[in-house]
Amino acid sequence: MKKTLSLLLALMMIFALLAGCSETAEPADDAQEPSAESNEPTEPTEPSDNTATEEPQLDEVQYYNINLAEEPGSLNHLINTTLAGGTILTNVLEPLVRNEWGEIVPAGCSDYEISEDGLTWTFHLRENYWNDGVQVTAQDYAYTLQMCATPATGYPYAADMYVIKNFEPIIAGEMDISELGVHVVDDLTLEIELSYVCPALLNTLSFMPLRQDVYEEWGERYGSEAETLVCCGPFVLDEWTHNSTLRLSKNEQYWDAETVKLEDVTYHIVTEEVARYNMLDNGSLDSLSVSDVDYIARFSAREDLNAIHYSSARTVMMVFNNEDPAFSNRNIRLAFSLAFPREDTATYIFNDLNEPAWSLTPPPVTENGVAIRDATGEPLKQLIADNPDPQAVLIEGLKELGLSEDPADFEFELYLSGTNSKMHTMGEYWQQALQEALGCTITLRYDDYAIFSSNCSNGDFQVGFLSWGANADPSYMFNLFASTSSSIPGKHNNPEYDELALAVQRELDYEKRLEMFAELDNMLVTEDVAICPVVFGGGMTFRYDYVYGVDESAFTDAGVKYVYTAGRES
Amino acid sequence: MVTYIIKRVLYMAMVLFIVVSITFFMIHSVPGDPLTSSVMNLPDEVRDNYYARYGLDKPLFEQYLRFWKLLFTEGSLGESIKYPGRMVEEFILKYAGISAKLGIISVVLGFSVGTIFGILAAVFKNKWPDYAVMLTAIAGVTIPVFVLAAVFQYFFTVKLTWFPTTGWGTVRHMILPIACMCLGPIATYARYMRSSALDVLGQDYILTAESKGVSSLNVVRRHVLRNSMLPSITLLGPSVASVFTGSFVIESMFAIPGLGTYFIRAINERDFTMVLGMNLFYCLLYIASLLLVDILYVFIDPRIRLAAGKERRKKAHAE
Repeated sequence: MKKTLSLLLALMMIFALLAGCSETAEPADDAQEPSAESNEPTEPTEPSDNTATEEPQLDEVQYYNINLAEEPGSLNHLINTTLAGGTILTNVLEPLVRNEWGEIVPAGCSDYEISEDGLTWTFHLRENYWNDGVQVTAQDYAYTLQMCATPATGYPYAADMYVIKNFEPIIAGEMDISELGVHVVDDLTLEIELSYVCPALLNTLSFMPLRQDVYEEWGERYGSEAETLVCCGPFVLDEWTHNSTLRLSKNEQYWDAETVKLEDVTYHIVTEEVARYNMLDNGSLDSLSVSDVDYIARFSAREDLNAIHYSSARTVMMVFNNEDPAFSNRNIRLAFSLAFPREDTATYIFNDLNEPAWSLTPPPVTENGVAIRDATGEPLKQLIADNPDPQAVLIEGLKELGLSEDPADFEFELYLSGTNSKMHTMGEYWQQALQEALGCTITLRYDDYAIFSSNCSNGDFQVGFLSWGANADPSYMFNLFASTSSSIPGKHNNPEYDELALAVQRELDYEKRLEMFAELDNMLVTEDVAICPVVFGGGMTFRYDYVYGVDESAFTDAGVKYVYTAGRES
Repeated sequence: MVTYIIKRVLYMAMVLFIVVSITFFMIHSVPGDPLTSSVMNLPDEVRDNYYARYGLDKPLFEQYLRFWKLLFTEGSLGESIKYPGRMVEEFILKYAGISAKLGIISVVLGFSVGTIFGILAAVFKNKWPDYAVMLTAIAGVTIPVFVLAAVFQYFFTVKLTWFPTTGWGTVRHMILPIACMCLGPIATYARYMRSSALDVLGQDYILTAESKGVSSLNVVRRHVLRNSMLPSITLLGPSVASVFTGSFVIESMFAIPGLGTYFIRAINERDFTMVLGMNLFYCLLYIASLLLVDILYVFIDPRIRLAAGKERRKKAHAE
């Protein structure tokens, strides 16, 4: 009797564990979205339905728990390259202007003027204070720009700053830093001179302040701990337990402290997907972006969670190496792009969270309210309709190259930027679908992003798979494919394209800009076939219904400034 | 004994040197470097500055010498590349302790509970305690720790809300991670202990003891336990080393700020200085713990002699 009982007990234990196994092993496995840089958006985009309802009763205790996908590299904005770092920085520093609900609004400045020739921008600062009581001055904003231009800083986004007068020669060491087009007129007036007219200046650059005395005091340790940072944004960083949590509290010195409702904000650095889902499930997190289908289904069934579908403003694409012997041929590239199963990829690989892409820029990228994607008219669709047989296009290309006209003799390699199981599923699916449509042989190669990007920039690839995040300024994405940019491998080289990409940055007329963007997109995707757009990234955020005031727009840098809770069960 | 230890320490230094050297050249031979994504858009001059900051512009061998020079002259392992402004030795000093706290508790628990289970299983061979222990042991060995962590987390923090899901700081934060971490060791030690205890139980001296009328409890305590513990002690050494480096899976699952997550991520991110520093630390612990185990053997089993000293041999004869 005793024997059977113990056996039964032990068996039950094992079954319980095995049952758990089949339930949870799956999501733990495919941990990441297919983005090459794997940055999960923390701020989703589409407006949630709870903002419009009647004024709710504020909770007495205002706190907010959210996830941070990774440990910030540094909170020194001069060297930070992580998305997580940027998320924290928008909350603890006050940029000159912020992008809130899709609009540029004054933040650190109360207003600004642009000179008639469009080359001088004057910012009038507000009375704002650092959390140690020192007033924020124009010098603090100017210091950031000066440090960015100093070659020794190694500012990673220097190429975006060339719009500032003399920035380029200074960072190349050809001119003195004093020549920089940034002037402190008085304590509260900052003047920035541009090297060319740039209507999208405030969409492109974020102007954060930096305290010279604090920066010099800490040197390289600035921004590496909570103690080595001063704050002037809506929140103050109180505690940074590396790889675990960042605790922020309301900055009472902040100029707009009245608007800020949250008293405490905790960012939990949880890299494990399942752990994050568990935290949302039991209310340890108030909001979370969810990519796993099973969990989406589970959370959708919950009544206290709002589901918000958002676009992550990323384009997932295949980039062709234009210097590869085979892929230097347009017809070969075109055949690939024509045959690519975009819709099926969106449905079966990305569970309809992403949408198929026929152009370069993701849907949230707009010009004066019009999505660039819509303005292009998506000529690739027409091209696909006109060429129902991609294999014929491939044979045409093979003929031009003087190769065997039998597609079965043609072999190429698809290079993917990741080694996880999700990447393998995608690779194998595309391999099969494309081989079927084109009749050629495709081999697959997988590498970690570091190796992938290094090999690609050395030209060691034929077709590379990557995803790239967009910017509020549409010209950003198009610029990536100018021959002067080395961001995206592939060596796309078209002088006409370069010229137009440069011209559009300086064009003031919105209508004209829109036309130019459409033209650029057409050149890139259908004429040159430099890339094969795959899908536009998207995802699902689940948020408890007691959370209000979250800016869902794609390019927001409002942080959690306007967030508050009402009706949270304590 | 003392000469033996000195000799071993010298060997250790040599092994350490070789391992770190191999690691250095291996990590640098992998394509991709930690700065690629940061410097993509920089003008060449700035890019050079950036690489110079970490000494990455120098020939490989010079970088190698630089590593040793920094270590011996300044006692520093260098600045992390991924986390600028933070030194590698800082990471080790700060976070090895957190990993160790969890690790030591789970090793101690694993070792003691496992030993007791193993002895119980051996003494009650083919009876219900034996089956129960062995089933637990099989479960403990076969269920991967990430599954266990996910299941525990779901049941105890979502369904039952007994413990916080993630985080660090209080005792309540430690219970689930430790539970996940010690199940594997319990299983392993129980299995080793059971088989070696069975071996000992079959020896003549046990029969002698029993025939002398020694109670079963005393037989186990005085004869079985000590004589069957050697295989477990052998396992203990390496597990002590891994205690400090932390468990990557557990630490990322429960968002514990230990060393484990840094160790694994540094490799993916090609954070050269971090990989080298951590590797040096881990290697040092590992070989030191092996030495410690060898010394421990002497105390557990007097038949083992580390150095063939004349006097000791005589003494052994006299005994």
